[in-house]
Amino acid sequence: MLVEIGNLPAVCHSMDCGFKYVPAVGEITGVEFKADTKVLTVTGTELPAKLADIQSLTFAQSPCTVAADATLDGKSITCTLSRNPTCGSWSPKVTTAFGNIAINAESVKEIAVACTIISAVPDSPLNLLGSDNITFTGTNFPHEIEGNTFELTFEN
Amino acid sequence: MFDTKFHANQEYGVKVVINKQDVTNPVKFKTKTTVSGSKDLNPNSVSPVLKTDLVIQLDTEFPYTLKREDFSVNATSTKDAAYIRYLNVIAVDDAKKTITAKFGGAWSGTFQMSIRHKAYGLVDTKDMILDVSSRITSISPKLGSIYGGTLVTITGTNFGTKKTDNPV
Repeated sequence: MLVEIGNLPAVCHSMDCGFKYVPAVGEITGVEFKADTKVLTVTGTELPAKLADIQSLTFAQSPCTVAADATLDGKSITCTLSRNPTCGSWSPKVTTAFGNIAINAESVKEIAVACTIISAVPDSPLNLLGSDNITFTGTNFPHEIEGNTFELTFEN
Repeated sequence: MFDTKFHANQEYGVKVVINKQDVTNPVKFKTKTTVSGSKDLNPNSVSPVLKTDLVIQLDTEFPYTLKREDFSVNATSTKDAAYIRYLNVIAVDDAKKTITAKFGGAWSGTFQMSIRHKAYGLVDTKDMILDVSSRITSISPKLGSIYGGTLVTITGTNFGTKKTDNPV
């Protein structure tokens, strides 16, 4: 592994700075998400068998928490989103000490999370030249602006 | 009639897409019946290098009580839309419906004024153009002694009112 700091090569003092790629361990073959309870179930092969082996588990831009007393068998993981999911189409991301667990693209399709707009304030009267600040209220909106896309088109 | 794709007193829906997903919504918007405008800019010609107070006259029907902090004013070059000068609003007069903004200098040229009110949105400033330039229109007399001593009068526009503003 070559390391550069400020475009200058760094010296490897121990002469043991190699990095070895290893075959990915585990595969996610199924995902189920229940929107009403925010419970996500990931199934697959060679999934982490110990809670400590899971570095992070996220879905729809929300961390997913595995219960401390959960029993893991390497075949499924059940967790609960710690905040509302963000609308869009998503796959879970499970990270262990060896990186992300691969997703079987044939058996796992992205899950669509819907969002709704309940109201917009103000809705009348809007300035013909623009520059009104409008606040939309609804469900499953993104928690941050960064990393999300928004398009609004007025039509009559 | 306004130079905008929106029409007065008309209802509009909004199509919202978040992360490539259509968002169903019942929201309808209605536009104003009219747009309040600004009527006058005084002065409308200023020196590029001198700080100048600009007084903007709004419609007397402007529907909000004027507060200095509610307004933002800027001047955008008509030649280069990326060249924008932001002006500090230093005073308002609600009785006269005027805003006073401090122009701090800019490259010479013409600038489109833009006014935004926190609650009202954009105020119509169509045709409100600020001319930023200084010009010498004449020098008199055009002859003088090589030994000096000739009093020369320089006439022009947008000179400073203080002697030190106009080094020759």
